[in-house]
Amino acid sequence: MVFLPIVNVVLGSFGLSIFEILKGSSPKITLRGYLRFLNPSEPYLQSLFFTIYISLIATAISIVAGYFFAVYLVMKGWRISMIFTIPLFTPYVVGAFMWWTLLYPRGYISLIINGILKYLGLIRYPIPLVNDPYGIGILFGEVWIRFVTAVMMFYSPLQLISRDLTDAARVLGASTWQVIRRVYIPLTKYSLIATSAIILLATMAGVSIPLILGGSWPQFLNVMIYLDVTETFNYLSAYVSGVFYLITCAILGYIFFRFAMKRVVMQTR
Amino acid sequence: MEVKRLLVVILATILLSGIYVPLSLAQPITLTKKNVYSLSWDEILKLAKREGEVIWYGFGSTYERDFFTKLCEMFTKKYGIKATYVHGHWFDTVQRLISEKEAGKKVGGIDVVLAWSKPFEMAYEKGAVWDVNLAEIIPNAKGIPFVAKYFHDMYPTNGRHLPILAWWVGFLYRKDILKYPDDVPTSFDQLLDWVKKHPGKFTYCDPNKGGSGHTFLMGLAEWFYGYDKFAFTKFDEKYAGKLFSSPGKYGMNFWQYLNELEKYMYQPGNYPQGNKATIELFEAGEVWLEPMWVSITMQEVATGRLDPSWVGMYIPKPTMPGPFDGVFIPFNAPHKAAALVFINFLLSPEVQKLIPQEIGAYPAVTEAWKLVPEKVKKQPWWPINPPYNDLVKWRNFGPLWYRHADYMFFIMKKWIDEVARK
Repeated sequence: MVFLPIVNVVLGSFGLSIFEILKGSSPKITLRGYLRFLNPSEPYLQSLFFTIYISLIATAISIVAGYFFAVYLVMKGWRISMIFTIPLFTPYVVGAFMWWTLLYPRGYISLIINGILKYLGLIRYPIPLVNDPYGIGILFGEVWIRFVTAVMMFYSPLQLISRDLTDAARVLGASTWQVIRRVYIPLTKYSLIATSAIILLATMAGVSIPLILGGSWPQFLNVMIYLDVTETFNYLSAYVSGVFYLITCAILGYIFFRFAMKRVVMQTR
Repeated sequence: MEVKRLLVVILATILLSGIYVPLSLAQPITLTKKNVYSLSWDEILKLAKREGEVIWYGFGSTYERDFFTKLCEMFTKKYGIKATYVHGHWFDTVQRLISEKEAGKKVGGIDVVLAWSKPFEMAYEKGAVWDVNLAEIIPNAKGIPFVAKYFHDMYPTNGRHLPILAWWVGFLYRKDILKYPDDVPTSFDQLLDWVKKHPGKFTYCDPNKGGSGHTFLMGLAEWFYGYDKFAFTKFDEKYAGKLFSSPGKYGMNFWQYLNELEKYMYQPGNYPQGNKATIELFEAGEVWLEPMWVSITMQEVATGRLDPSWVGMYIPKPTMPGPFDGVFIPFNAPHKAAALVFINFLLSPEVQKLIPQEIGAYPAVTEAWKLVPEKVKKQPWWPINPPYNDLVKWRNFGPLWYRHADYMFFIMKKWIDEVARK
């Protein structure tokens, strides 16, 4: 039962239906969907690259900001407040709509950012911060949620690092940056890899945020799948996109489990 | 003596069975594809009361949900047949019916489905629709315009789908800034010039994210190449590709025209993602003109988000196509007679006259417009459409264009490549 949906997607990408096969009808294999997906003049490849590109940026921002924020909390000896974890419990759709109202042309954040940029003479016309072709809106929505996830995931491993090590570094004259670089990062590098992989996979898999905050083009591949299924009823393309999605996520998942998981466990022990 | 008694018993049995047979013919226990045509409406009503229940699956905004729930309450009160409204999404409902058909499930859980053209087409072609001409059976269906009764977005329904209302898209404009007809493009011919003269003040919804966008583009295409190119024609993708690459107006093809329009639109290359996002731009004062659903405009005013003094609506010349959305009965509906009575109720004057004031759509039965209170008709979201203005005159004498479902899908798909990606 676990693999049935995946098998169905793979078969569907070749124009086959698991139910038709079970019924005994003679199936006709087609590569039309794959040819279409791989054709650079079609939107799918670009869509896949855009998905990876935006997911990587969102992950990088979340990881860097989240890591340093977690280090700051640990250094200060502060705990994570419950209020800080609100994005974790906010449904993605709600979070996305909330950001939309802040980023749309008359939203507070949009007015502030565009006002500052205009005041500085950097722009003549307001720049779109949502439903834009650069994925700015998606980045706001994704980072808002993933940043908190990253902080939560970094906080525990950072807390496990013995205070003696950082004190020793300080006694030997290390600056804060050197403590981070020489003590914290080496001792949490596998946590960094694991968290990055988890956040990247989660960002790539989500549909609500890119659907609401993304633009007409380029689109996340999962938005393309959604539109193919519910708007244009192009199941073949949806199946093929699904296969490519699965492959991409499987590669990332493999990297995560192969290189990170074992070491994370070992490090924790 | 014994023989005589036996003969009497046999004779009585024959006579009684003779009476019973016509009786059983007159009152079948269930409605079938065959007997439904021979039964009188009173007999169908009796059967419906015996079934005692009807379940309606619909979709739409919260306004539609509340209105449809209210209609079910009215129906239950009037007929003593319990009507239940289930608010969902047409896609899920149709997928469920198709799955049930493929699985051979003979008795389902849905009696009436609200659907637009494509979901109906999907269900119909998979045999998931009750194959009965509703238009011939349901008495109140006679008031629906003939074409709408037998076609939905130019897809032949053969009367298996009956429209209950007509959503419409008009040009929503800032009435406090622009005066009709002098300051607005009253026809599609004037649109490009107007947009050039008012840069950044026009937008339309991403056609893949909202119906106001693809309905506008369909109307624009029908004007651009002529309605006869689309009207009830067979769809062929190659032919469509050629047509849309051929010059229409201004020596441009359709995509060139849209790209030219885009240069002067609000935030060029940035299309609002959905009807709601589109009207939000209007409400924020960012744009002055946009294609928009009458229903959504009404609902935005009602919720206080849109200032009614800003609202002006009109139909650009030559006209704008619109969908007559309606209902069908699934192949495995458990209460088919009740479903027929319910659809007849939806098409009754008492329901049809409520549609404009409750959800901002036109009634499917044209004459019902006459029953709509004047104060409702005077609301600013009802489009100006000279020389007809009145819906009855418009439907009877004006150009009443329809959308072509297949061409509309073609436009939606190609729009990504030809407009959004460029």
